[in-house]
Amino acid sequence: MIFTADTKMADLVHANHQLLYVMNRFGISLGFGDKSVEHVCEESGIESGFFLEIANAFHDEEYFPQKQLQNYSVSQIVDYLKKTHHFYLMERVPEIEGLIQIMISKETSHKKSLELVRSFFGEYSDELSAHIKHEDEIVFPYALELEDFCKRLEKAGKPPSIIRGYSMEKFIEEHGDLVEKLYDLKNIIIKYMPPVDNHNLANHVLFDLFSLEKDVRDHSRIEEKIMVPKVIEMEKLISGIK
Amino acid sequence: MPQFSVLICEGSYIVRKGLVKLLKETNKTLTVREAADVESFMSVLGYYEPDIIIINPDLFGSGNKLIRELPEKFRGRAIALSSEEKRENISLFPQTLLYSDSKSTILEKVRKVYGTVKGCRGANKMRGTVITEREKLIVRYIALGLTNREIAEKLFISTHTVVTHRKNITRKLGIKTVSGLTVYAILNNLINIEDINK
Repeated sequence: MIFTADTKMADLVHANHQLLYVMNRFGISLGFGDKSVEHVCEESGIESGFFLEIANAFHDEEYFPQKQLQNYSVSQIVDYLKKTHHFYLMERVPEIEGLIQIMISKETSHKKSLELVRSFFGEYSDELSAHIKHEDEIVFPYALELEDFCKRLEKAGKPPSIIRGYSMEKFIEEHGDLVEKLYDLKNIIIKYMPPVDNHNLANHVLFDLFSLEKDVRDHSRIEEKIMVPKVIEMEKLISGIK
Repeated sequence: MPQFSVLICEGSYIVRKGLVKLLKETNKTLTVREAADVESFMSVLGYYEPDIIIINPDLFGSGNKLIRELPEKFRGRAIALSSEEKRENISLFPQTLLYSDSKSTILEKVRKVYGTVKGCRGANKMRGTVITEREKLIVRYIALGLTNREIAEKLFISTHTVVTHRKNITRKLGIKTVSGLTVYAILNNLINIEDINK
């Protein structure tokens, strides 16, 4: 299913409730009644075309953003990606950490095993933070700088300034699998942990891990399918000038 | 559950998607990649190794060498997909799916090829999911932070063998990372927490 400007916003959620996260990052709140995507976006001051590209790419693994992509600026894309990063570090990860903490405090017989789970998730959270920091501090500024440069080029035709030593090729190479540890953690809890006291809490943690894993995977895909091609195009443009 | 991977190369969007849907319906663990033309097919093959390929020979045009090499390369694991029975190059393939085939015929043909693949993979890979004593020992060493080479030296085996053991361990346990294996090792009393920090 491909979402269009006429699709009801509520139908997006029914089709894939993980899209709630995307709406969240765009600052769209619930309660949209029967309004269409276009309508809701307009009300929230969001460009509906851009929202749809992201929502479709997020929802359907095989969706490939079309030419419309060129209409969106890198700063728009980066802004969305940064919000996603912020959401992971400030909301999702602390939420899961909190749940594990509650599990430990309520556990009587297997506290030690749960401590292991906590420290393992801590390692994951460090890995995620490092990954995000790298993108926020190196990859995104690089992409923005390129865009800025291209803009100035159109206006004044100034000679290229020095772009710092980075390239999308390098990004693709190092854009590693960010979900391996989550995958491991799920299996550890599902298969190898001794039975804990509070099943419900354990389920909560698992549901959250499944959902975070999917979200991170979809997020990486958006980086690779939307940001990367856009930046590569600019790289080509610039190397053509040199 | 064994995971099968299939790569489909077919120009017609409807046929391709239809086949993907049909295959997925019958085998949930199946991973399917698609290609609409020879170029993308070859690029997928560059980084992806499917168990089975299903291709429409028409896409390759007559006189294309590739189409003769593929059935050879994939031995019993290449299936042709064709609009009619009498097309060029079809005879090169051990099995052919026709556009006019019924659902059950298609499934039966694909299943036969699955059977061959299972045979190729060998009994060893399919054997239970419990790790052996040897593998436990290796998990222990991994958790203690030893490198492949160090493990190889300790056990008087080649690093290549260590890598194979590690692959089997990961497949059996469903744990990919060193820290994940460490947690597993502690939970199963293969090591003590105190050992790690030494």
